[in-house]
Amino acid sequence: MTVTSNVGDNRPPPKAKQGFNLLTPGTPWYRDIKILRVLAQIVFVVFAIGFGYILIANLITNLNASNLSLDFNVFTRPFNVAISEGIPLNDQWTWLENNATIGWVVWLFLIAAFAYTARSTLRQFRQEHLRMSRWILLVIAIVLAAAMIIYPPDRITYSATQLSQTVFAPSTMARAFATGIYNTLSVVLLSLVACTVLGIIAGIGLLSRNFLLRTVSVVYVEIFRNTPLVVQLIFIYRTLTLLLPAPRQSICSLQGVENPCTAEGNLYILNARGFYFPRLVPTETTHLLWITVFIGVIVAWGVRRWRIHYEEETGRPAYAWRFVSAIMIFAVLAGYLLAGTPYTVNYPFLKGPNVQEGMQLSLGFVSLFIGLTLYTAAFIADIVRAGIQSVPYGQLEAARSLGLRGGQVLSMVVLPQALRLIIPPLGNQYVNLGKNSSLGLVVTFADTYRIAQIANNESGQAVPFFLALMLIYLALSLAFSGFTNLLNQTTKLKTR
Amino acid sequence: MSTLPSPRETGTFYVAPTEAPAPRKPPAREVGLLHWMRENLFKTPIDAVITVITLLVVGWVLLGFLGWAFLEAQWEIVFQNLRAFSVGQQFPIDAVWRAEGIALMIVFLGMLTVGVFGRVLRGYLITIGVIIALMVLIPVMTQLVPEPPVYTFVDANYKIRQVSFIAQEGQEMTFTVQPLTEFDEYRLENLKGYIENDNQQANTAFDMFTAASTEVVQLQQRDPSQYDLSVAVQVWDKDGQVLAQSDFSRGTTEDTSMTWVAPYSGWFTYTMVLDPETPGTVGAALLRVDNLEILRSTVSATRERIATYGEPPALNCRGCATQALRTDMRFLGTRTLEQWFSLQLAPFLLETRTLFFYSLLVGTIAYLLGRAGKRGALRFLVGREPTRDNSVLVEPTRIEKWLSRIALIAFGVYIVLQVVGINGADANTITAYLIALSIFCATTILYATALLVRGGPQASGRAVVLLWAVSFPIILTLLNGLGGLTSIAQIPSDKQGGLMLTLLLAAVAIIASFPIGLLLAIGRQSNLPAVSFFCTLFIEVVRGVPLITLLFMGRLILPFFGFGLGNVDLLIRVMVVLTLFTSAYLAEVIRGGLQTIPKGQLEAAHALGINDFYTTVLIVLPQALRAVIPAIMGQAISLFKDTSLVYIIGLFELVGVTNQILGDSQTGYLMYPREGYLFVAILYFVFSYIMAEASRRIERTGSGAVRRQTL
Repeated sequence: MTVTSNVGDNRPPPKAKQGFNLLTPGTPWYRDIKILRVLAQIVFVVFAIGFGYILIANLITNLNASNLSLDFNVFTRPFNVAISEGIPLNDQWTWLENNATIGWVVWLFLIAAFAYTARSTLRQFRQEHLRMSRWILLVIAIVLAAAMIIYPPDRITYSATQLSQTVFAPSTMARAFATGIYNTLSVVLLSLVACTVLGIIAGIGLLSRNFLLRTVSVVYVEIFRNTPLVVQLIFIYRTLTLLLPAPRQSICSLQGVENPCTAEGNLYILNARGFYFPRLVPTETTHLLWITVFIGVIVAWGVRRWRIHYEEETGRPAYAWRFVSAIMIFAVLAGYLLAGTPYTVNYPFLKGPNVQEGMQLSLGFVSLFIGLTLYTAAFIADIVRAGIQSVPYGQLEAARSLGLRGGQVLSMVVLPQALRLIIPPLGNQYVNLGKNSSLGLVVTFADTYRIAQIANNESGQAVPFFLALMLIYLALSLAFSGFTNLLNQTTKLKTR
Repeated sequence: MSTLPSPRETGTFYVAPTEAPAPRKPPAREVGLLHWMRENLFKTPIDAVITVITLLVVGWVLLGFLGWAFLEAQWEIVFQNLRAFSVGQQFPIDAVWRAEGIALMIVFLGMLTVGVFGRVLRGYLITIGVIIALMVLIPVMTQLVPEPPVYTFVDANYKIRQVSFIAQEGQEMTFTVQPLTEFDEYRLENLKGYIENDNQQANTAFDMFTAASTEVVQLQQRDPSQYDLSVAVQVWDKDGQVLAQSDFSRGTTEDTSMTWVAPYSGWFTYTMVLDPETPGTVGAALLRVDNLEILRSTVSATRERIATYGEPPALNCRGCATQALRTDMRFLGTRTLEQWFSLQLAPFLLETRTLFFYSLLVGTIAYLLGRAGKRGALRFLVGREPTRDNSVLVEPTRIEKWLSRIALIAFGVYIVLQVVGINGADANTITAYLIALSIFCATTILYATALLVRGGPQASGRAVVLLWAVSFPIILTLLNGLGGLTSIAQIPSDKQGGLMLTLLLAAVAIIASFPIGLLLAIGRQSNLPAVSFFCTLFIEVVRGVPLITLLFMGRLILPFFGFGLGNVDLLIRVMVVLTLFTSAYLAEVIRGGLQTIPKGQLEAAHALGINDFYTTVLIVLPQALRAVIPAIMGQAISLFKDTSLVYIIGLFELVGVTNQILGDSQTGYLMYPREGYLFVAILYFVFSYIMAEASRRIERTGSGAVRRQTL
């Protein structure tokens, strides 16, 4: 039989000539979609780059014309304006600036981490990224911990009189920016923790059966979501400045003593200049404590793995967390005994018109912290509510009918499912928190944006400072979204 | 077959009685308030603990706040500056009618939209009714609350103050001279009432009293019991002639009072005089005036007053004559709740009442028009039967066709002239511009009216969209004015401000960013890598930095980019920055919508031979955009709140104008930032909440899903 039917013939149709074809055969080049696509893109890129080039060329010409020629060395110029608070960088960071090799290594590392985070944020996260990111995070955490032990962070605020005498003026613009970044990060990280806690409480409150709690949560969320953060911040700041007393009439925790604020041992001192709390000061033996704790963490990690392995092998309860807690408590105690007195407590006290010693939080810091926390927590509350509501009621019923207790239902059934919906928008809120921290400006908090503004007023070099601001906030945003992606990967539904 | 005896006869079974049992009251804990509390507040012990703790916390916060708001807060800053809050402090007074016209126009269009597309719920009607009742009742009721006394001060060392006021014929006033002879009388906090304090003058009664109080109470330099002043009160008419005078006190430490009845309605002045022969050397006295009407100090009230009573008396006492204006009277001491109503709420209601009633009237008319148009009830105007059959869209008549053509041509001319640059143009161009604008507006409005009269949901919906479209150029023209025209003179952008500027910024940014955001979203989804890369770069960079960084760029760097940007007004630059910022966020929102379109839709379109462009425009976008309407509304709310940031670079929108009012040394509001910002927060809240509520209702009525076609 020479005639064969095509029915049931599953072979693919004969392919056209194999190999690389620039043109689609049989189509003129000006109608060939392949060519047109490439052409369109070339035209687009030429236009985009040309436009950008014209803009930048104009910018440089016009800046030169107005005697503000672009100067990226502006960061090494002196910065002579006193900043109210920050970390004194003058002595501790000279090694970084003087040693060119270390500087380059640090910069390269930062750029690489930045690029990597950016890439993994913009694209889909893959498993190998996850593993890699974990290592990167571990390295960063260890470096940060070491830095904390070598240079314990020390919030320093300066009162008006102190500012005029010993000016806390970071010597260069670059150091001023470092101070600003430090201030931004400190307020962001602190309110990040606080707003998460408050947001979860309010989110659960939104779903509560208790009428009063529910109403209060709803009112709180609606008020803070529907008014601008700027107004909230100014309101908080101006209210605090109006209501808090002058330094000489400070509010102190000690009672029943004559002149309580000047005495030692106040747990807090509040006045119109700021809030003051006791501070832990490391001694010479502090590192012993931390080294012991670090060893404890490693041992606990190993023991936990061993216990889980044991449970999987034998089916008996592992009590992993009991082991871990015991080891950690033991490590901390041992470290404490080994170090003798790892920390001394430094109490604030009033001397003349100033509060000295202790941990000093300026009023700007406090207002920004309160404002950011309340504002972001209102959004987080709604996210938490939506996440919990998304878990079908049948899941709860099923969990209960299996005999799980209330806490177990929450931790083993509801939360794992709710977290999957909560974490991505939560990450968005963290990014927003980071960006909103730039509003420290309106409460006279010396954050990055305010430093840039002061530096611009000093030198008139808007472009380099603008670029620096963009990079810093982009890095902050990308770091937060990268971290969220990582978290999202660990809670995502594992599918094969 | 024998019949069995019925159970009722034998009594072997229990049989339900034929009568219902007497009704018993349910247990008290199962009904009413008690039951509700058991269910909602005290269901479990933990619940009870939570309730008690929340109650304590909320009670503490609420009591503190309400106590402050009603008894201590000085809300003068709000109702004295309503004009500044709504249009900005520098806005020309002669142009306020333009802002009011715009407000009424927006109310008209908004209520027309509600009438055509939605319905006003009964709850809103009740709320509005209650508000109207309060607005009418409260000012009337508070007439009964006596005004607090007004104090002024005399001291041998200082110039004596003269205060002008308005009295009605037959009004009885009491002037009491109170010598200050006791220590406690010098305490500032023991004084309850107004004290004269003209912020534009030095050494007002308040300043003098504060100084004396410091001397006596804090420094204890003076003994208050030493007092030998001889003082009397005088009331003058408009020309400075003495109408009445009390007896000189001649060193007596008793209060001496004088009752005076106004002989006619008009301006008068009261002052204290020292005895020319033996004025005395030590001590101080307060003059307490009862039943004095404090004058409203807004511009409109001043004009009204001058029209009725003439100019205030011109007193030749430099730096010591003042009027009994509300801004120049400082309230001391805590007030009672009635006083809060009469001194704080009633003036606010009086200031806002006129505009509120006008907008209510306009809004009601617009709503009824919208309803009528939707139901086709306006068809009787053209002699057709009213119909509720809305399904068929009738062909436009010939007149309607011509109207739309003329409108389109006029719109083109208008746009061309706008682009050419109207503000620096000569008189002919402005005339042409005005003619084009009026023809466009007139024809479009006529066309929209024709559509509304024709009736039915589709036609009236189109009418609403057309009217909104035509309102935009009118609003812009009214706001900015035209150079060379006296009736709507140009208002420089640095004189605009307040709520109007906030709304303008938000509206311009959300409208202008929509096409850009759409293009960016499509560009990011594009399968051309170069286009996709640039769009992604733009979106991610803009979304990654705070808005104030971009505003920083708009203020400091944008002028150097050439293209004449250096000469562009700051307001326009801010609008550009806000638009670009919003477009990046909108792009992401729209991209979310694009991703919800099932792939089958695209495949079906391709199978039908529709090309990429028409697939996007006719098939993908209508579905995608409808799905993201709530998200776009969310973006609009967020943008509306974000406009508050532009005050940082020096525009006077709501927050900026509040700062301006507070910082103004002449008005003396520096101590009341809480009241000012709270009012601003309430304004933001109201607008955001309305938008959020509208978004929720759109979402509920199913606009998120594909629309049900009635054809």
